[in-house]
Amino acid sequence: MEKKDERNSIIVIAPHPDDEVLGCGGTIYKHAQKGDRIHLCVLTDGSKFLDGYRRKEECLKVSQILGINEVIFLDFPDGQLENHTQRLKSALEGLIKGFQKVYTPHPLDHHPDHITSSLTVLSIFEEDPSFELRMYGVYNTFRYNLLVDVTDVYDIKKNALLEYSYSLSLTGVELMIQRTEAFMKYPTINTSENKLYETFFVADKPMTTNEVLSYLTYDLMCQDPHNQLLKKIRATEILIEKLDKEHTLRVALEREVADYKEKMERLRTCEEELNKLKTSVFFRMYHAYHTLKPKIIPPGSLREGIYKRLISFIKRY
Amino acid sequence: MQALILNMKDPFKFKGGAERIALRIKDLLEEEGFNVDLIHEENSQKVGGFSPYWVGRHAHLMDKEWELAVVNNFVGVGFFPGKAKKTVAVFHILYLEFFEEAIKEQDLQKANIGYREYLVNKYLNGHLGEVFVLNAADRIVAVSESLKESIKKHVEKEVLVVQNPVDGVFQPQNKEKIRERFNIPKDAFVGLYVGRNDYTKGYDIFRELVSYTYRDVFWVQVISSGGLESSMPLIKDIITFREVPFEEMPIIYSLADFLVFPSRYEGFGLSIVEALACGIPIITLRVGIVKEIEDLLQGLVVNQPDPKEFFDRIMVLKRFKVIRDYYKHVVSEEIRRRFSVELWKKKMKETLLS
Repeated sequence: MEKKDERNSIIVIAPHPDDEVLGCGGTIYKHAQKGDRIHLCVLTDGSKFLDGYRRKEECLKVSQILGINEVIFLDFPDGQLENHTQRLKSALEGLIKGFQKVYTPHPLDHHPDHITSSLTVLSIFEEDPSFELRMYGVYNTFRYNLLVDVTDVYDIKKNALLEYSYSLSLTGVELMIQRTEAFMKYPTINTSENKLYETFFVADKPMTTNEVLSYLTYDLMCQDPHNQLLKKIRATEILIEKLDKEHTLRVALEREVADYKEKMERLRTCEEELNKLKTSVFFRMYHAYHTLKPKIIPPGSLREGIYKRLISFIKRY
Repeated sequence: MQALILNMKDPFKFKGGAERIALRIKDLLEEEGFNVDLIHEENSQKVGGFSPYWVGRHAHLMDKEWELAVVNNFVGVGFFPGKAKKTVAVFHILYLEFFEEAIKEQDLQKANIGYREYLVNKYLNGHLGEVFVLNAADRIVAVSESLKESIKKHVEKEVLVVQNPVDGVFQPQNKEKIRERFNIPKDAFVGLYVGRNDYTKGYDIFRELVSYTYRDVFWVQVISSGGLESSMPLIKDIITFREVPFEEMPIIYSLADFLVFPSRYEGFGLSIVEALACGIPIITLRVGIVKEIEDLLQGLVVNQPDPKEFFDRIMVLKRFKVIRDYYKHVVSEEIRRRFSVELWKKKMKETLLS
């Protein structure tokens, strides 16, 4: 049996260059180790307090360390994402379509750019939950449902953070590394082993923004069942539409394959018939005649002239 | 006191099983002094393409509050949070079960059901609509024990069973006179099929059965509407009645010697008890109410949707008139006792008003 290709296509949404490493650098590297195809999308130009160009250069170097295949810079103004939500949504909608897993900050992640990027991805997800959503944290710990043990690849993450020394210079790269390590070591009081973790909230089934917020706030969010329902109906209808289209396509392709198989079968039958013909006495005589004729009557020879005259004489009478 | 009933179709125009129960509940509530609002897809404001939603939503947006709301199946999906003190959901079928157990994805082609129709029924109606109503309603009623079992797989709530009643008009009648009216030979062995001409009702099995038995059985079919979009071509060379009003069904049942009921899924299966109440033996798969009355069916329950199994039982019925007489004289009375309107009223009243 043909082995199923288990590689995933991943996109990591980072509001600023460096967020992807702080929040999920180890996990990105683990995806790369598995052979997954990884895209990184940096939303802002990172130029509010620092030189955005230098930060981009660092980001590109870091992507090589982490095994990221492609980096996309959307260049929204740093610190002002909340003023560009519509444009951001349009840009991300086209971009994240088709990826199996989408990483983005969680919606309670302190920085306004992080909150906006999270809510934007969430609104895309609730309308069209055709991917798995994974939310990471940069600024604080949060309610997670997935712990990824990255102890074995922490050195890579640390190297990546060191590469971001300019981007993290406002706080100081060493201090940032210490803080990141602390979050990774103590994402909760409940972990029993002395390991380094990256934490995620994973929505692997259709969920509305409210449901995600409810989960993250331990159901403290006010629920509106009617709006939840409407959103779910809409999302289900979109998914049904997509499944139906894919099904129609699959059926058409299957029919095409069946047609080709039928044609192949017909060709095979013709080939068999031809082979039978080739082995028949008549064909062998015919073949022998045409093989021997140029030898007995060479073209342009006197013998050929006599032969032609004889044939035309026979045809005439 | 104000009460509300939500139903998909207008029960005064379309009289399927669920619609007849909706009307009975309406009568019951009016007897108890309620003013009843009946909302269905024809008298509600259409919002979006999902009709079960807009029926409930229309009620939700009305400037009114009710003591009691009764939602038939998952039609109340847009009603919640309901403006009623108590909401009772009465389930007649469960799409969740239907499209996971009775019809699987691999059956679609032979069932002539479109993929989109399958997805809509399974996910939009089932996983979304039904699960939502099951969780939101204060009380859940199933029309049979087997339906209750199916519902319990999806919700951890108490589910009450109130079996559908059979109307008093369903009782044995003079077979010979009825056959004379329809020009059917008095001594013919008449087989009857009642239902839609689709895969879920087992019309494919019936077609095959007719081809086996056309020498032995004088076949009559009663074709109804509703249900899924997909249907199968009708058998043309047997007596066919279409859309018979339920008041006239006792006559049709009574002209037959037996009913064949190859339906693959039923929440209740009203035709089963109606035919039995008319004294007609039925050959059926183990669907809907059958488990609860298996003691009366004397080996006429078929285990597999296989025409040959139906055929064997038809031949037994043909040979032994004594069995047919037993149904006419004993089973009919027992069914009318077990499924009497009075019993239903008592149970439904307790369920709705206690």
